[in-house]
Amino acid sequence: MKNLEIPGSKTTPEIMFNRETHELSIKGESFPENTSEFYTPVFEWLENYLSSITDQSVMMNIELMYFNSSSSKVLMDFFDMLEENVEQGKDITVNWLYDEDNEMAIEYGEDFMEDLELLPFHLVKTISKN
Amino acid sequence: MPGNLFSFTCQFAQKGVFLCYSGPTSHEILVSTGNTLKQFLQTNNISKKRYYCIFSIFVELFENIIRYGVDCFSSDIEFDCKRYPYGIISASKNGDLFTIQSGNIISIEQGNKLKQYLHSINVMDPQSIRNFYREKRKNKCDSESKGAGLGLLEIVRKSSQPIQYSFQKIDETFHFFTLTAVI
Repeated sequence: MKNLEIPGSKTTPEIMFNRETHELSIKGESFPENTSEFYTPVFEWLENYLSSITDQSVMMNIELMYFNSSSSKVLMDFFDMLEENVEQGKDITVNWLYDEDNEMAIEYGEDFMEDLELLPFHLVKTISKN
Repeated sequence: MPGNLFSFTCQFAQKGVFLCYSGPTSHEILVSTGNTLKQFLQTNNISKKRYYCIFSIFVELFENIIRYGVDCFSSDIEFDCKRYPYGIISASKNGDLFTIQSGNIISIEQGNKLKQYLHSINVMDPQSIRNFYREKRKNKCDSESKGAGLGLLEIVRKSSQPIQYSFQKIDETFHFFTLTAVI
């Protein structure tokens, strides 16, 4: 099984899932033309990867400047899947990276955090570039 | 008709419209007009929070036209088995406020359902909208919705005033639906 590397585009985030370092990163903006078409291979890779690990520490960093409502739904499905794995005893942490100047990003991070019970979900402030 | 373009342009200018697209819609046009909107906002030094609220509303409204717009003037096109429904979308600036407005044709049946739904979410306070959004996101998609069914909630959540909408009768089958969001 290879690492998953999808370069970012104007409407899709960069996705770098590394199975050796156990670092998973989603970065950029997300409003694909066809949300399920874009994310289905990501789900498949993740499902496969999660079933192959045992006690490794997995770190997922999400830094989305903008995501549309369909992507919001997909993210929830991602987190539900990670949460199921945490329930089975896997060590997974999510870092929600947000720009300190973008209050909406904090609000959306808080919403995800409140909807998750077992998955460690941290809000991490990044320094604004502008 | 072409002679009216000058008067359209004058009306737009008077109303502070800096971007308007009218015609067959597609994701490609969403991306290019969305990019122009972003550039305009950057030039005007809009705060990051408002920048993403404005852009987000623009994207959700545009996606709604692409998903739900229907044709009645034979104005939309079909190419490579893909439909490009007719729609109109504008962005304007008046003082500090931005307005995004979209218009498209829908069936009377769709319109009646939409009217009830818009009314119900428009009267919710911000916390109720936030809770309803989260509740809906956790559930499986409803069969009539082509997206996550969260788009209109996203628009109401990110607008700084209640949204305005209207349904104008075209004929016995179709309505022209307009939605206005102010940020």
